[in-house]
Amino acid sequence: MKPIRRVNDVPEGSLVEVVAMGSGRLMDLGLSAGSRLMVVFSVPHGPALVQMEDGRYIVLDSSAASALEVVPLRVPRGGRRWRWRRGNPGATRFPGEGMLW
Amino acid sequence: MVDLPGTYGLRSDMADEAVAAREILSGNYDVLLVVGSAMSPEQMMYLLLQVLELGRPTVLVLNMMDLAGRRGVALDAVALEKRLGIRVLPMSAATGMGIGELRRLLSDPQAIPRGNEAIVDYGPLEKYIDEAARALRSSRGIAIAALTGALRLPEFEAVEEIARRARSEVGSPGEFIAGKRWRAARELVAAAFPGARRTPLGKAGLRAAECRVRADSIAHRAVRAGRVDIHDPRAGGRLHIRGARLDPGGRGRLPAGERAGRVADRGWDLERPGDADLVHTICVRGGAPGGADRGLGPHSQARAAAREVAEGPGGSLEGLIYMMAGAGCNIPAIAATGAIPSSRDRTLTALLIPYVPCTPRLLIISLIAAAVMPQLVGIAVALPFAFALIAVAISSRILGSTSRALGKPSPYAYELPPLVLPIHRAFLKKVWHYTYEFIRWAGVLIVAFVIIMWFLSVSGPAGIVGPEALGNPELLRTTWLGIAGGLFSPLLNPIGIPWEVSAALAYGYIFKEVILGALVVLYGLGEEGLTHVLAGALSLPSALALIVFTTFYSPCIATIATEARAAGWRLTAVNTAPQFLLATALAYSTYFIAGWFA
Repeated sequence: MKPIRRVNDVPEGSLVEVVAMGSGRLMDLGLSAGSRLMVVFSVPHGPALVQMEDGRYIVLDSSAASALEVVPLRVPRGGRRWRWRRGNPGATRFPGEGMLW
Repeated sequence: MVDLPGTYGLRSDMADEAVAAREILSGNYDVLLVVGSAMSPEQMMYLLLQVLELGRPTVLVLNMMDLAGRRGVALDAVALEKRLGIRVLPMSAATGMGIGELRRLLSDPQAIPRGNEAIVDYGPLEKYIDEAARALRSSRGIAIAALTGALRLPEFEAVEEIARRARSEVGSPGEFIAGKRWRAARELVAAAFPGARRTPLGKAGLRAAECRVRADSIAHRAVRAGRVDIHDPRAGGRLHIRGARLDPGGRGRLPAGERAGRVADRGWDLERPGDADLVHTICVRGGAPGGADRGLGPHSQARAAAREVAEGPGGSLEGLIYMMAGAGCNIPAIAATGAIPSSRDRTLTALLIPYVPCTPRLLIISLIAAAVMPQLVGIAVALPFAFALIAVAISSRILGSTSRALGKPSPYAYELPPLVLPIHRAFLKKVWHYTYEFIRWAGVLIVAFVIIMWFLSVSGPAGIVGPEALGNPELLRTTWLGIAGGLFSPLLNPIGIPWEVSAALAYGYIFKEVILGALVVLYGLGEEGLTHVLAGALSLPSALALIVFTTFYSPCIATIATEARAAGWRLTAVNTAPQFLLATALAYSTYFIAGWFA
């Protein structure tokens, strides 16, 4: 079970699948529900830089990134974000955190 | 020749792109030049396909061909021209390549072809597009814009019924059409640009574990979550589970509070293995407070709080950078907001920057603090920024939620272009352009207002008093400026601020820097005696109130004019008047609260 996350809330290096875009502009950039993206750079609640399947890079401002809902398909272990928290297996303090069960 | 704002498509989400979309769709031109970068051909091709559907004479200009060539990208212009039905001109604006050919082409616009209108096959939507085009007596492109809602015009109501049928067939026509166009654009680029292939995502990444879930746990989890969203990309964004209520985006949703039994009643037969196979990705979103933020670390939570404060009901976190720049001088910070892409964020940030105390204000605040509370100068200087943060939070919320003139929030995203070092000539030209613009506007305003204020300070109701008024406090009181300064006095006198200080603050409308000089003149002192005089004239509560008032009261005229240029006079007036009232209210509050503690 994977939760829906905003693209700027997943760790960098994650592979995600787009669920909802929240903006028609992203359609014009070639995104659609089901597109897979690599999160190259993301700031929690801030902007994000993602790479599309065809290799193009898309820059999203805070609003666009917060409206782009994704499902993480693969999250790197020991993600760069919040590394200061020892033993962190990614973006969360313990497996399943951020999910509802 | 009209140079339209750059755009990715004929959609009216953003103010500048809406201008381009409106002009292109109007058809009120002889020829349309689509100028794209050969370094990013897919995005250009996506726009071109939409333009061709309008059936207007079109030329494709592919700029940056020199750089593309160096990167091994070739262009099969003949094949592309044949497929598109229009002239394709390889060009390099930097070297001048192709410009002569473009000139020759434009000298005879009647000879420019309209191109192939139906490159993209929209499959099940074709019949609706034809029907809408006939109803509107328009081109294929206009019919598509009407069906997808990319452009809203009163006459499009005639095809609302057709659009409804199209929606019932494909869900979201906009998403469907964008997908088809992108597929066609990529095919065209692959055929016409040998060597333009980018490095795609790794195969290992695409083979990553998919989100397959055992269906028998879904009903149970739906109860815990309150609602469930289901999405199946393999089915073109639509999920064919019996009984599921689907919205056009292809996501079934149960309202909060549904129970497992009710889920079964609705026919969500998710426990059946056959149905479970249909589910490619199942996503459950929580209904608990905090939503997706829940469980993130303190760093993220702090950012969320900062975002709440900075954005209010739709501002911009990026705007904080401009506000920080405003701590030096408000004028260049406001002028720089032109770089914010969203018009709403741009205007809102320009209106909020004057709340940030600039360096000259800090000088005055430091002087007051040094005079009355020398041991607390550090805290007194930090205090205005704390107050500014509160004022920005309050104002952004009020402005963002009440002012329709700001427009709606518009998320901004763009394709990152390949990194190319700028041409030094173009770079210098741009720097000069912006510097000149700033000097011209701010300089003219500053000089003009200095002359006006000087005139007001050497003349009064009795006529010209003369320059000696600037050195004589008694004479200065009889000038227009002295009288205007006296108007502040009844306002600030009840909180223990003397007339001389009130009048000096009125001088601050020229520049905040002149307040200190005005105080020296009004008290008839040398600068070294000013601290001593202020220490005797101001009590601690009055000094604190004065610090607060100085922090917020109206900015200088040049700042107001720059703000008006960025946000318009009406919004500036709406913003400046409450700012003065806020300064007065906070000064009074500070005075009484400090007096209570003193």
